Amino acid sequence: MRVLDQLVNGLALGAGYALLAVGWTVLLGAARLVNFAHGQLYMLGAFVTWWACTALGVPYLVAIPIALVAVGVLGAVMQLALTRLVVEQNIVSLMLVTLAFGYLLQGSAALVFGGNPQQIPSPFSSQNVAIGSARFTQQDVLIIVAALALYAVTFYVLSRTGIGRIVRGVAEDPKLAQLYGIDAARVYLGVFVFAALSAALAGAIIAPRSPILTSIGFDEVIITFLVVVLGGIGSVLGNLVTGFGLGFFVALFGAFFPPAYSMAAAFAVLLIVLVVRPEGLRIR
Amino acid sequence: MSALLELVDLEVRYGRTAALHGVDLTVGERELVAVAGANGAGKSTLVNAVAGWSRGRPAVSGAVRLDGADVGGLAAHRRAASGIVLVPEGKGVFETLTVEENLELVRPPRKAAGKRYSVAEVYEVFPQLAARADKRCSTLSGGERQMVAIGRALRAAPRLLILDEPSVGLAPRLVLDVLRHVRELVDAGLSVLLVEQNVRATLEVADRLYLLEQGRVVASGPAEQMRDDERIVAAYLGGLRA
Repeated sequence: MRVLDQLVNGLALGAGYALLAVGWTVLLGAARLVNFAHGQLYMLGAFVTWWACTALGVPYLVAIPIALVAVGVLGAVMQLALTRLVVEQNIVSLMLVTLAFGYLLQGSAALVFGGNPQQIPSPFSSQNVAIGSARFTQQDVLIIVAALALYAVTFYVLSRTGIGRIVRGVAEDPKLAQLYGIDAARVYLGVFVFAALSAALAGAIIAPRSPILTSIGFDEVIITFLVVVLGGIGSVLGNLVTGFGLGFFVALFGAFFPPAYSMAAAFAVLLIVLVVRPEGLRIR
Repeated sequence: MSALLELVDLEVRYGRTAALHGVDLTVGERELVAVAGANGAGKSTLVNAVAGWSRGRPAVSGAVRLDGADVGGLAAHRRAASGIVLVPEGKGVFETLTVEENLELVRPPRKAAGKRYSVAEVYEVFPQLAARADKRCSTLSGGERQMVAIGRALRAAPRLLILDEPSVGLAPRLVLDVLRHVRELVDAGLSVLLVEQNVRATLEVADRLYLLEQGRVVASGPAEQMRDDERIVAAYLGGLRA
């Protein structure tokens, strides 16, 4: 049955959207930093995974941590370059600089990895799972499990641990945090690396669903933006719900209308939601 | 006696405007030193410069010495770790965090500077906070927030506690309560630099007082002496204007 197929597809799509958004929403909530290179970090997560699998010959599950380390280091370098702009909350420059990073990463990736489409050789992509008449792959299951696990960990850390208190404090008032003995710049570094890692993880496990090019990433930023704003900036649960909601919406919309219109329709929903609830869903 | 805090020729500018001109000031061990003056005299500018903290972008020159060591080059979070702990005027707590989270959040100094209060000890100082432990600070009254702000400062093991207008927004009968609390802390071994609007109440508890006018120290001395200073009487104790 077509609808059931699309529901399963929507589940995997939505988990992917949520996975893409979690780092961004924490980053934007805590550091008020919009990172337009987020999609290129996703792309690099995918390509380093592919490179580790094909050039180093390591298994897919070993390639993922290699990609995480590489993109995590890159994220740390980016944030160190941005520190002053973030501390001064120079929003316009931040947007431009992160966009510049995005193009730079895209160009460098094309030089290093070439311009041909590649396929990440994940063993899970070829393993099918069937629920009734609906069929999906183990890769889809991996995406869903990873998204739920990462959200659970993020939610726990933010709401229940000392690190979470520090991040929430800096999010509310970085100046005041200094008086608590907290160096906001170090917190920004940690949050940025977390966001980079989550983007790389998303790339490493979502990208095997389809061939990858070094030019991917910009659509992913737009989708992330949509999920984060709809779900409420900094609202972890809101982003999870919105990610899955958007996944179902795109999948079901695609079942009845040409998929080319699905992004336009998703943004129409964004417009309506923001007119009714300017703060987003903000589920706490 | 060598002072715990020593300011030498401290000058603060915002752009081209000087907010503080060559201020010299000391705070000794176990001393409660108050800074008084009209609005805009530079009281907050002064204590913020001591803590290396500001919401604006001041240019600070002159020396800030803690125990003889120049701390003037340290960022605010490092000064906090070295024992100079500021409770700023106005918003001094994280409103989206609970009382207990605010108290837990404080990062312990690397080497214990002064006495480090545990959360339980803060609740002993301010018993009414214990009942509010799980409440977000946005739901607290102004006085309770001030207690959280002072409590978190005690958690940071201050050598010098700086309080900027701790009684703002409090009912008049509570002001002296707060100041007596501060006096008790000093008697227990803390050194305090206090900015306070209510000069009459301040003179009841302070050891010494500096009077600021337009960014300059115009008078200073022991509290009992300042109580009789004409300028203080005229401007703050209402002697001539009554």
